[in-house]
Amino acid sequence: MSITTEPLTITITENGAKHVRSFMEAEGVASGILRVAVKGGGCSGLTYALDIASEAQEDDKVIQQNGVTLAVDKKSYIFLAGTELDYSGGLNGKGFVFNNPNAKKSCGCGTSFAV
Amino acid sequence: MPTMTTNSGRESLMEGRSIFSDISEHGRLHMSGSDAIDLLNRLTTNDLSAFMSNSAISTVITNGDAKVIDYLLLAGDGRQGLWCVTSNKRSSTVADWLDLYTFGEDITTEDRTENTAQLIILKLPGASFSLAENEGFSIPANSSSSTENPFNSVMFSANFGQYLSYHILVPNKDDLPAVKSILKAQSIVEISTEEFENLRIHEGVPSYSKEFGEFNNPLEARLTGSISESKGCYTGQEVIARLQTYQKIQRLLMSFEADKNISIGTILTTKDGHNAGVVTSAYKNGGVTRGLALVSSKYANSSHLLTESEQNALIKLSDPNHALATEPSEL
Repeated sequence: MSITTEPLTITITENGAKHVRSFMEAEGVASGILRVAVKGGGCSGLTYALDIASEAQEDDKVIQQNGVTLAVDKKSYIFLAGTELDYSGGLNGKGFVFNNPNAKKSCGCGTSFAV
Repeated sequence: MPTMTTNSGRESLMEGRSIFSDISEHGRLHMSGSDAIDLLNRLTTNDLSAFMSNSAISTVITNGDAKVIDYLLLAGDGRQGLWCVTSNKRSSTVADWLDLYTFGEDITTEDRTENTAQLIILKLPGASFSLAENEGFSIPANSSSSTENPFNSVMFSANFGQYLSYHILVPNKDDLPAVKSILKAQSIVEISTEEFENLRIHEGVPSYSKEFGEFNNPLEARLTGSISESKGCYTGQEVIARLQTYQKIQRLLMSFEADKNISIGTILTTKDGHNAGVVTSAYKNGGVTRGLALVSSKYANSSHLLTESEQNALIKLSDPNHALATEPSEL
């Protein structure tokens, strides 16, 4: 029996991508990229950061999916590999949601995590 | 356990004199970069949002479980950076911790412990202090400011129990003898490291690995004065807020006095044999042992405890001077 492994990457759902495109259009940067990063801080130690940028940095990991280009710096990628970025809308929605398999725990409001 | 049995440092202070001690064993990091304060604000307990190049403040680095990585004194260097004073032998751990949580921010952290030095001056509030007028030193107006001084040294004030303390951070340790000479010329008496440790214990100033560390949270060590309740999220904040809101702090740092020889690690008990705490620091002064203990919150208000081995050793508890001076009054 042969085992094939897929390299861990970061994915974005169609719903997530739709909202990213919508935000980019609203910002007037329809050809921009979505920078996905991690920052120190928040109750659990690490927080997610999203930003729209015009281009990727030299050492970024660049991922294209569902019509959106994601750029992740190398250090953040260590904490984000395998993450699915989704969007939760509606009255009870949380906005962008990170389904991160590396997160061993998160704080009550869900904005920070620990690995 | 310190074996010092005299109390000359404290006696000098009580007579209205100032004293100083060499505390260069503390770690010193120099931080610069436009994001340095923002990172520290995200990772530590106190509100650093108003910190400027002439500010000073104490804060605590906690992990996600609110356990103490270290207690820090931050002081602006008057230019573009700041000094971060850590506990003894903790500078590399703190630097590594900050590096772990740095993701592309503009921050440079240098461990300058080896080539810098640090003194602490203590005096009673109101005692005379002629350093400024005679030697060109600029004494910080309060505990939230730092000043630039001769030898490029930085001076800042911090609470030390019932005394006022002034730290002098000397960027070039070769200048230390000259700075000491200036202090001595102003009749500020140098005390030994051992005497200073006895003063620390007497004043109830908590120390890394003894009263706080990765085994407890800053509330147990009575570091409440270095915790902002209004700044919002920082690492460990959720746990600290929960402990405070639901009054779930398990142990409290207490001072004690006993007429027996009590050593570090001694288990304290109640009259009916319940484990009540453990001695974390102690020194003997004549026939009396003074010390600090982490005591179960349930028994922290007890007037007396016993020791596990000597049921006739009465341990008289009191609130540490340092906690009384720094804890918010509503607590």
